Amino acid sequence: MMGSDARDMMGLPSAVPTPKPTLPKAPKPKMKGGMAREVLDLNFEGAPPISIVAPKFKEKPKIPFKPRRWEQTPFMNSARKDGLVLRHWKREGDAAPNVAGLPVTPADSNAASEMDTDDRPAANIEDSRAAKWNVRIDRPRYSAEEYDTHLKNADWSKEETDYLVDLAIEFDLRWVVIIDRYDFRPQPKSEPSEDAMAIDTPTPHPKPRTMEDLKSRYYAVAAKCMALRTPLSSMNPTEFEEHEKMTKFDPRKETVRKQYVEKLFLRTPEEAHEEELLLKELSRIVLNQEKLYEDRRALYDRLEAPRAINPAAAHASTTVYQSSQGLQQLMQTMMQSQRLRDAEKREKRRSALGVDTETANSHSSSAADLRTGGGGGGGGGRSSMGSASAGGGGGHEKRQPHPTPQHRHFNQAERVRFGISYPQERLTSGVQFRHERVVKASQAKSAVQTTRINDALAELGIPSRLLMPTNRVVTEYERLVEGVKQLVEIRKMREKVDGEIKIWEAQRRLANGDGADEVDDQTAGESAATNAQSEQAKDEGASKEAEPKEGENGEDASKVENKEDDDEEEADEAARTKAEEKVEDEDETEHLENSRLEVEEDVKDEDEDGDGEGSNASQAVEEEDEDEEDDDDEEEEGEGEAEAEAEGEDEEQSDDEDDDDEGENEDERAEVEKDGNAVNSSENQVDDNNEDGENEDPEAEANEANEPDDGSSTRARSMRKRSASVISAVSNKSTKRQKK
Amino acid sequence: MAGQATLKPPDANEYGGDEISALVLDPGYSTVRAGFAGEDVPKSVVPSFYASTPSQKHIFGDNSIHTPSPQISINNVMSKDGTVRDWDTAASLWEYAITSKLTSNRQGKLSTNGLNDAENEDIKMEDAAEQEKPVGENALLMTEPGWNAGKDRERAIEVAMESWGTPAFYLARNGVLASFSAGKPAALVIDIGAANISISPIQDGLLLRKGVVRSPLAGNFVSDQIRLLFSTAQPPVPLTPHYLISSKSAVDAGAQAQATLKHFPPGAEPHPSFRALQEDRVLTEFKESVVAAWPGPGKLSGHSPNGMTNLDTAKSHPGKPFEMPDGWNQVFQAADRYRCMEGMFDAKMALTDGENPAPSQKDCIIDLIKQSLNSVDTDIRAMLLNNMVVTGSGSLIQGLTSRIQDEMTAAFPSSKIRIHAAGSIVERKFGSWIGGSILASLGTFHQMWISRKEYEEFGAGIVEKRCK
Ligand SMILES: Nc1ncnc2c1ncn2[C@@H]1O[C@H](COP(=O)(O)OP(=O)(O)O)[C@@H](O)[C@H]1O
Ligand SMILES: [Mg+2]
Repeated sequence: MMGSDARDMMGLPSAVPTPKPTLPKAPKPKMKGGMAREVLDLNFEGAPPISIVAPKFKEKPKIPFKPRRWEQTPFMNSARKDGLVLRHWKREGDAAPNVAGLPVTPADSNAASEMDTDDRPAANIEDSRAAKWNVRIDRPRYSAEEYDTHLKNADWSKEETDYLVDLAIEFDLRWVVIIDRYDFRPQPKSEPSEDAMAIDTPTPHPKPRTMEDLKSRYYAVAAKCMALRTPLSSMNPTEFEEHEKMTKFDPRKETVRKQYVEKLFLRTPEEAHEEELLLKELSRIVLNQEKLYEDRRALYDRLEAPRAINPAAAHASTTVYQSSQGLQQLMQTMMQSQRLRDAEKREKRRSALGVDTETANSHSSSAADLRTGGGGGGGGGRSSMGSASAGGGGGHEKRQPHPTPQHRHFNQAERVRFGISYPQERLTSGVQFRHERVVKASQAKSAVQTTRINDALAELGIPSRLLMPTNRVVTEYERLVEGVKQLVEIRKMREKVDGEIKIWEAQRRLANGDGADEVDDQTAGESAATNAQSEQAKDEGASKEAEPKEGENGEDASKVENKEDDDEEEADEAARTKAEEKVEDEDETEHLENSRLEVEEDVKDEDEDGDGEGSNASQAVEEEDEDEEDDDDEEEEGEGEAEAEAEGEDEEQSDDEDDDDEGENEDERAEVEKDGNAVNSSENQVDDNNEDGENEDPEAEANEANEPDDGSSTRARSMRKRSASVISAVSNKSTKRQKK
Repeated sequence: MAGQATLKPPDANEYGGDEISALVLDPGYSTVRAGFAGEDVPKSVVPSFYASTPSQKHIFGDNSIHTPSPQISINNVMSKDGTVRDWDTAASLWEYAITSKLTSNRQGKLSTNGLNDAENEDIKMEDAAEQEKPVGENALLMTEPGWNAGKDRERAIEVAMESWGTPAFYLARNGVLASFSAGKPAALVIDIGAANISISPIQDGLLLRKGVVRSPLAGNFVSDQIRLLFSTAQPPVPLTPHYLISSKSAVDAGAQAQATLKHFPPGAEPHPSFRALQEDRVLTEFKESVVAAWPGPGKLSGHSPNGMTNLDTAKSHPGKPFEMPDGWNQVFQAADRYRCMEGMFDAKMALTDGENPAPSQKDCIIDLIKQSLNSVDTDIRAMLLNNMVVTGSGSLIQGLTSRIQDEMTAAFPSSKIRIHAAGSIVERKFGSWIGGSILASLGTFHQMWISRKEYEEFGAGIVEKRCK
């Protein structure tokens, strides 16, 4: 019943029953020594049918050393004073790296086990390597006399002081733990710390102590002890610093700080959420700020601004301008350079027209002097170039190629009658209607301001839709609205500044330690106070109103106020601190005078223009107006830029002349324009933020983080004006080029 | 101060361990855990319950207390407040925990005595005195709750030094140890054990005693809630412990159990306390598999924004089947599963009857945490909230930690709440033991031990001075 049976069953031919028929025996020779293969197979002398592979293990590694035994070795810890011997596992041969430095006396028997009996003679028993971490702080030491002479305190008995110092040292000045464990009994029977354990037993008459009490007492004692050991004069710097720190400790400040922490901890979800939002906003402002600084620096580079600040470190340097003095200084520098530029321009124009008066000469020379004295080298170079080319009279030639106008000419009477004017400064591209002017005049940047202005107008009994909007009426109306705007602005600023003064005062009071109980009341009362103040501000503003209005007539006034408008709009968002407010006021009046002067001169210039080629020039401008209807930039700039553009036109002349000399300037200008736009847009963003904050909550403005923004706002304002003029100059020129 | 400046701190990767074969003993209300320091699980876990025979013999260990001997009664060495109730018995029970599996003194005796023959007592008290000192060679670290009274602490060192002959001893707070086991020197430890929930604020490895609060709404409370749930159900759920069942057959869900019960001759029945303990074992099974925390938002008694009560919402959550020892089985609805432990968070949702009055809200977990935080310094509160450690077997209830997290986030919206709860069941169960194991195997801890010499010199009072 073996393989043969199976074969039978399966109908296979019976084979020679070899023991392992499946195994290959190929390499075997058929015959060996004349013997049949079968015989050989029987003898099993050939290769065995099954190759038996003996299991082979990995060879035992030959290690060159004998493994060492581990043994339990006793050791001590020199941080312990009782010589406790413990055992740990150690390699047999490892020598003890360090030896306990404590004297082992026979009295050191500690354990019931044999461990100390056989270890006893080993005076050089190993020391724990953890012993080096045993660090203790030095205890302030004082004798009873020293205590009496130096450390007496009505509130603290010597016993309690001792207890405090002990506890402080025991817990390594971990005050959170110390106050937790502090449990001094006035008449301790035995060790005070002993009954400190029983939490539940009532203390007889313990003085309630806060952590600040403990800290201030300990620091006072420790500082005194330190000074007694080493006189202040012979302390090394670290010691002195430590001493300073301890003497400077102010428990009241700490208490107030803790109260703040507590409040922070107990914020409601809404408050937490609001704070989160504010933080996000802040980070956005900071981000924008970076960009703003960047743009501003680029502008500075191009606009020959006073290099009073290092633009690279704008962040740090703005602190200089956070004081009222700094701001004033900055303002004056900028004003001066502005004046110089204006004077220069006038000078240029005059020379271009061939008018060369004594006064103009002296003016320009003094200006040049000042300029080279105060401004950078680059600025000087440029101005000289401008005046040099001005001598060539390039401006003239520029205007001559314009074709003769196809428009009907109106004489003066007709112009007045039809209300047609050929403005020297382009207000907007295209035709401008009076009703637009009326509507525009009464609109401020924020809705709140607009309603306020409208309220004021209603109070004065002036309808929002003028009955007879003649040219003069509209001009007068604009003037009035500008006045109102100004008042509203002043009032707003006043409120802001008052609010801030309040906050600062409150903070100062807190810092002086008037107790934080008032914190609540102050913040609550703040808004009420500001409101009251704002009423006052209104009144004061009314008296101020008279100033700018008087002594100005007709168009001049309107121009002046246009300029004011420009200023104000920016001032709106800019000023925040008290210091700035001051500067602002001065700035305003100065500006007023300044611009009045300028306008008068401008008018004079124009008259002169009108006589000569002036008519050509104005016609050219008019044409430009028509051509430029699609110019986006212009339209966006809006009315606010009108004045600046007029200025720009002045500049244009010199620019053109520059162009004749160096044609590549074009690109550069375009860049400036881009930069200028960027500045405007980013500034607008910041403005929006500020406005939001202002409506919400005056406290938010006290936020320190806003300050860098504020510090530079004055700078930004004048920068912006300047950039606007550059933009208009460039755009003017480019359209002219296209025409050519 | 001056001294610190001269020393540099240890390297981050410097090995701080230096093992001296110390023993760690962590007694709790449900079990006592014992093992060698440096290991990661206690080798010996022994119930804190012990059996008393009519002849006033105390027998310890799982095998003896779960065997229904005649007239056997069950007691616990610990009291409901987590401290030791009966020091003499506790000392011998702990000694049993140490010697039965750790030190070899009685190994031979146990092998002949213990596992197979349940009728025998595991240990004979009378022998203990004659034996040589059980832990004479090992330093011993013992744990205690944060509210342990001075006399209990002294008693502990007396037992360790006098009866067990340990060469060095230390008494550590179990809250501190639990925070060590989570790798934190500072934490707010929430220990949900059998008899107590305790909150321990820890700063720099030191317990802030004034911040320690506790409440009884822990594992045993949940057991009682389940009992109430069973008895108030319609029809009531029968609770027959394992030892009463001699045979059973499978039945449909909700159907009457088909089981034959064991009968004890009159006068030979175990004491009712025995049955209570056995029932508790079933209830623990129930806790492990069925009970879950309402996943939120809000409390179970609240309602969702669309006006639906959370109890109604819970109806759509999945139920869980449970089979009693006698074969009775049923799918427990989600609302019931949540309800059993909702009392830990919301006192008014606790099931009550005459014996189980409603708990007060101030004992509920979140309120406890608030109380604890209010009694520590303002400066460290945010830090504590960011370092919460949840430990204890009672915290293993499904969804409990995330519920705590949610409620804490709602209660302290302005702070960052972070809860550390060990992922492995073993680490959660033995949190404080593991912390003790870490602490006792540190090289720097060698100087902390109270040596026998010090004990002899200063007496038991030294424990107050040294174990702070
Ligand atoms: N998986 C689990 N789920 C829920 N509760 C459990 C679980 N395991 C044990 N318990 C409960 O935990 C409690 C024991 O917790 P434990 O931390 O060991 O307490 P103690 O430290 O007081 O001895 C008992 O009430 C037990 O019923
Ligand atoms: Mg526990």
